[in-house]
Amino acid sequence: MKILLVEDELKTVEYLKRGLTEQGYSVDVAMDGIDGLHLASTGNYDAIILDIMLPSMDGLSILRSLRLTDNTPVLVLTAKDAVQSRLDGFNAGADDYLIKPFSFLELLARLQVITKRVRTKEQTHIYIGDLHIDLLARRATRGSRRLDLTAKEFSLLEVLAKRKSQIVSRTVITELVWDICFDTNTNVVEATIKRLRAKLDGDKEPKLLHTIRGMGYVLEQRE
Amino acid sequence: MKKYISEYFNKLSIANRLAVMYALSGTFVLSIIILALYALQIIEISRYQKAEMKNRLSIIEHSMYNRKDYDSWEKLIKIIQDSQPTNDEIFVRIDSEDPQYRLDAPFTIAMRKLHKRGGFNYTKIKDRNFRIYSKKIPASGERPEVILSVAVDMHFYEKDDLALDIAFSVIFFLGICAITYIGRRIAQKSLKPVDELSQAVAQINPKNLQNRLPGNNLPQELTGFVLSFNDLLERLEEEYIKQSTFNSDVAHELRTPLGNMIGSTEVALSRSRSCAELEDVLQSNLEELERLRTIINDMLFLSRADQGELAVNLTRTSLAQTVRKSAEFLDVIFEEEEIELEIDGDATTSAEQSLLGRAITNLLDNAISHGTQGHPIKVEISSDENWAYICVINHSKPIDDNTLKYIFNRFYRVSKDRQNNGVNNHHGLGLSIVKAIAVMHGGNVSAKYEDGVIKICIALPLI
Repeated sequence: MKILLVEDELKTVEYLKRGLTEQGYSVDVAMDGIDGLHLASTGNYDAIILDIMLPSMDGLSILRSLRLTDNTPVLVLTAKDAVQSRLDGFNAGADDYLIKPFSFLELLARLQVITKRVRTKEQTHIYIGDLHIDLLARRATRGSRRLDLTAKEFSLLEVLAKRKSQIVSRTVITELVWDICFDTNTNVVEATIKRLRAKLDGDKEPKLLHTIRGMGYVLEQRE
Repeated sequence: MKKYISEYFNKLSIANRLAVMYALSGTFVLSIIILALYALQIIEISRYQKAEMKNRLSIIEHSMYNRKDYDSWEKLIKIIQDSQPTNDEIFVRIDSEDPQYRLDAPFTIAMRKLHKRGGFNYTKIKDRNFRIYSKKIPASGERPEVILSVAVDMHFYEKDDLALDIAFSVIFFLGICAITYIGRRIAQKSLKPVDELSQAVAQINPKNLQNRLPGNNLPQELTGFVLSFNDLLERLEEEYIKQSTFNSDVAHELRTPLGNMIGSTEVALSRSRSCAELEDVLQSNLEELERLRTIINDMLFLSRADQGELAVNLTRTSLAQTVRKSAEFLDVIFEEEEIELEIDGDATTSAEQSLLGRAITNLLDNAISHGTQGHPIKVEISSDENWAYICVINHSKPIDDNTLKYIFNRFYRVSKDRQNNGVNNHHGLGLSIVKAIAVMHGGNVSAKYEDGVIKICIALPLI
């Protein structure tokens, strides 16, 4: 999957390019506006990550010119989160936006959404090691042990299981499990994870639910 | 012209304006006084003159009664003629049917009619204006009836008295100057407190905002101004202190995680470490960075609210439902802290749901972290004509009014403990965000402590 990154801040470019490459994307970089527009209109990309503040030509102008001929999904990066600048981005034809500073996990999640890489195929059963989740019956078993989960704990398990082996950030969990899309400085996610872990990972069983400090959680079977 | 004058006038100092106004009104009043004096003087002279004329006439009249023949009459005429002043200013005329009994040139018929009427009249003789007093003297002995007249030249009234005019003008001019000067001095003296105030104001700067303008010995007109100005200073001082402590608080809040990261990174790099150790440092740094990001995002949010950004995606919202959603989110925490939640009442108004949810979550979270185990948290939703209220009530340690006043301030913590308590990621912006969200909806917040419970309310306009 080919991605164009239009960004002038060297450090940002470095880590995004590395991170995205490691995730299996092939990344082209343009460090200023004019190059960006040239590459965007000539290259054949699956998605474009576009910074708004750019030398020689700003991101919104690039987007407007590009949208005259091209429908490549565009994820806009902006340092301003005022409502007006968000609206400006959408009006110019952005598919989504991220406010700096953003987390890399969030960028990946948004990228997957706009490139429609997320599997939309409805799964009904998920197996991870000896964990079996029945999404229809809303039932989870570990080996022969039936997990006694509350509704929210089951939703949390479902969210993690559907993103098996991917790091899922707290923000994503809050959004998907509780339908809450604003910053909360609470430890609800941690507390719920703790409860889920207590029920999921027994003392003698191999751990399935892992904490990636500072980033989020992963559900996977590790050797 | 008028515009030019008013522009010029507006540029004058108040003392000069008052002086100009004093001068104008002085000119007006003095003119009236001088005109009145002039008129009085003329009336007085005229009265004196008339009395003099009557006197003369009656003296001659009396001497006439004794002269009954022509000889004695002639002698009388001789005396009168001799006593006539040579400059013709005053003279006596006698008119009669008999030419023998006339004095001076014969009167014209018109003048004769005038004289016959008697009393005071005016006439023109040889281009000169005269006032004439006439009286009929009845016939006596040989003498027929005669008309006796005294004429006085009116030139006194007509002659331009240059000296008098100059005197009047000088008095007038000096008077105006005096009024202007005294007026200006009075104005300057009365305005001295204003000068002093302006000097006092000029000395105010951000470093001595605690100074106030002197309020005593001031004229009544200025006390009100000084009071309002001192009020303004107080508000500014409060805001200034808030701003500067806010800035230092921000720096402090940012410094702690930065210091942690710099320190731990330096320690990690100071010798060679295993991969796991380095990973641990990176993860710890990431946590600190996450904390920084939250603080910065919250501060940007607050500053946008400060700049007047309003909630835009308004939808009809049931407040109870929003509270239930936040409560559902915080359910685990409620359980762990063993605190019950009671939701009472409902109201519907337009609100941006994510913002309102954030405010309510912050309020509940705040109530949980300051509440007491075993005491339920109550949420009361009510409304009156114009407002919907969401009040979160929880059991609390006593809080004095002074503390209550500041709980919506940024980085304010009741416990004065700036340390991150590890369990919660509270950085002291929660309630400021609640307030900002209320303000973005055109509403407000309030806090009250009574009988062991603290009640924090959001008021939202009913729209």
